Amino acid sequence: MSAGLLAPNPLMETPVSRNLLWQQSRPLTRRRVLGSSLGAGLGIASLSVLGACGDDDDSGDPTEEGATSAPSTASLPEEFVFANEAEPTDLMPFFAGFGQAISLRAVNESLIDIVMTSKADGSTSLDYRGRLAESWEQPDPKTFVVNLRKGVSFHDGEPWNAAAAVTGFDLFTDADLLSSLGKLTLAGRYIDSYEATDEYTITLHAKTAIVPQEFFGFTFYLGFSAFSPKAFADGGLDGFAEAPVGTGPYRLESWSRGGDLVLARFEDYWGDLPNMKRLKIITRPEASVRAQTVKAGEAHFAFNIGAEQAGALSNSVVGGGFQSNSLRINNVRTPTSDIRVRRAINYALDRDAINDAIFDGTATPIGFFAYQPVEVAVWPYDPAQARSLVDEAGIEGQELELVYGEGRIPEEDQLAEIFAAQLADVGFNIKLSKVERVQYNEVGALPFDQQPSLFMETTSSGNYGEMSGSLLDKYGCTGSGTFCDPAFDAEFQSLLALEGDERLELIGDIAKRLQEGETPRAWMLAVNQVHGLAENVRADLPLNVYLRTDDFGFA
Amino acid sequence: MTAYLVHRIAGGVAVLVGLVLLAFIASHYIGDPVALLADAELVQPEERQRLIEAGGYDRPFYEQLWDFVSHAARGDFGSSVYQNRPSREIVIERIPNTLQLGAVTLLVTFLVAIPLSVVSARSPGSRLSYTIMAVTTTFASMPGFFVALGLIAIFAVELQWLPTSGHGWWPEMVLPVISLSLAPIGRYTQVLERSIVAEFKKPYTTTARSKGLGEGLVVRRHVLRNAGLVGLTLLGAEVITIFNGAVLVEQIFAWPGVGNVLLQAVVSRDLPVIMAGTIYIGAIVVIINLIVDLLYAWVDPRVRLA
Repeated sequence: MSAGLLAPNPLMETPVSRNLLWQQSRPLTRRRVLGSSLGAGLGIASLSVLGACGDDDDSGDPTEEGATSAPSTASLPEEFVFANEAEPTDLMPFFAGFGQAISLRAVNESLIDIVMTSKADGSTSLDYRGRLAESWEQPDPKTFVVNLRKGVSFHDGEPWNAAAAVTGFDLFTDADLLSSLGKLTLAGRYIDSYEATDEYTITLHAKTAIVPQEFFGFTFYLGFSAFSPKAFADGGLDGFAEAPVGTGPYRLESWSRGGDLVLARFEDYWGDLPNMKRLKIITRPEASVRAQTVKAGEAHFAFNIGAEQAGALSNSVVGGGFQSNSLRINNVRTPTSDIRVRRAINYALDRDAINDAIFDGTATPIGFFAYQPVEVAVWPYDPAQARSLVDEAGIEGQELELVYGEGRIPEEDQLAEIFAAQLADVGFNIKLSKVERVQYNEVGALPFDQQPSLFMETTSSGNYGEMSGSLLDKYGCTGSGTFCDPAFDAEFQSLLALEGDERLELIGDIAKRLQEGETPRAWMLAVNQVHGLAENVRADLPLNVYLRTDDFGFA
Repeated sequence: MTAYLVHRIAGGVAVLVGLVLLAFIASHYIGDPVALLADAELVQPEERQRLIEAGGYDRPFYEQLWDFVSHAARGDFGSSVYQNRPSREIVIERIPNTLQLGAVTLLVTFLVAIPLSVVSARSPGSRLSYTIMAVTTTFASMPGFFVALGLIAIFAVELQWLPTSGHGWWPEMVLPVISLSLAPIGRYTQVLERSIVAEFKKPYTTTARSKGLGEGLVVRRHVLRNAGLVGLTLLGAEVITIFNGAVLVEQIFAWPGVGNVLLQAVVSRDLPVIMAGTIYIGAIVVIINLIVDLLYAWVDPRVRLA
């Protein structure tokens, strides 16, 4: 086959390719061909599409937003191509489980703006910021009054106002309707009623007294968005899910299942306009192929390609991954019920070396849930201390089972093997047991005394809602951990009654007493996503929030 | 011929019934279906109970089995967990794409393997024949995913002649078809070559040549017709191989076929789509094998008479 036998590749005529002509001018050598083939082959093991969870972002303080002037895009390509890892099942923005949600959030929120979001500055605060909400107040512990942004229009010209917000809430609180879309809604647990109190104000009544962090976390952050009531009435749930009409920076141009999704910039958007006039989202499930789309000049942004693939590109960025990896240590079974054994495990694991070996240094060693407003020291790597504790506990050579399963990140096999090797170095005898996902969930839900000694978890970073819920789940007597102390449970619950610094202080105190004192688990690494970028793309992605089109564009 | 036809159709139906039963039993024993759907940390006990009741998972095994079989008989496998659509619809809309890929792959296989096998068989033991056999052996033994990724690296990234992936006829189809067809080309060439060499040695070939027929005519009219029976036998197995291979190739090239949707369903544990995909792929394979059997019987009367 020779170049002369083929017509020019039409894709080479796109603006992307013109910007990457340097690639075509490089001579083809045997070494380059072999190198590329081998590099591509390294990605073959990552066929599973794993999701993650976490928070989303905001473009800043609402009072600072509102400029709608179009950026100068005269010299920029017409179209920005985004290679995503999963095909949208529909275009509704509601939370659909961790595996489905994260890669599609940027798509969904480009079309349908959300009302409130967490901070976008990468800080660990649980503060919430308004997007389509301008301000809010809590006149009593069960009531929230939300003032909506004025002068915002839907893509179909309909106005965003309290009536539209109520329509959105009608949908968002209907568990039956949403479950038919495979979506989760947690709003029903918290919201008792809501009404429009004037044209731009809605009042929400919670079922019980509740702090804003929890209320906003579950009622706003996980899905409450702005839908055009007219479009929803015209298309119904199914029609709307395929052709939504929101207030976002992009409107839907075309989409067919199995095909590309094309969005056009909404020139009347209320906020800062992105410099990408058209956004084409292509789906490439295989990470190595996503990376190659950038190399071949077909895409500008390849989502979540992993550190290894990113190493072969000249431009890449680390973004939020929302997954914290840890070892759940059985606190009620011998020998891990012995605090010396739990500490030895923590000392034996070299988090930095694991980070470098598996994640090319892109992950973050952690001592507690990642991105939390607390400072908990990461356990130092001290094999001598670990061996001494193993000797002291008299457990050298005693078999401990480490159960792991198909998790949320593709590196769980490697992690388990390295954990076993590092623990063996200090005298532990680890038996690795990999189980299928359902069995993994079943084992993890067994009574504490029937669970294995060690259980590997990759879990959400704990900031998608209220920390009391995360603490109860990971450290509570009725949670999914293997630690139980009713006194701690009471403290977790008491967080709900606290606000501000007092609350943060207690979280920090609890975290320290748990991890430095009781050591019920060995927190390992917060795994971040690595994205591939074309040379002419800029991206500035906070680590603790979802990817949004605000965060990237043409350089 | 009618008895043969009835016998083969009955066999195909039995295979499909067995597939439906196996699919249900496998899904039933995979484990807690609700645990497949959502993260345990987000599903509260009352929500979990609602999902169990909604799915009918609390009913006795025989009731669930009967419900599944009676619905499956009507092509109803339930709605996708993640899409508000029947799983049947999700699978059926992808079938043409997989058939497109499979059909072109088979066509390319024949177009390449037949001439190669004839050329090799006409000069057995020659350097050319050894070369063809060595190359096709390599084709037959190369892992599909490695071929696919290597082709992308060379032709899409380095040379930039073809797109890395995507759906369409030209040029999107070139790399997926090459990836899928190399192994069948290898197997077909080797089997056909041996069969043609054997036919060349038979007396009827000598007779044809002695009648003064040209070599091309001898090959086309006599040798290939007889040697082709072996190719027809291989066809059923190759179709299965191509459908199996398509799962991986569709995933790598982002080809929106049944294999691609099935793999995504497996990853997300979308059981209704897995069931529909498995059974529809099974049905396609059964139908194609039935067609091959009938073709075989039509070409070789000894089969239907036996």
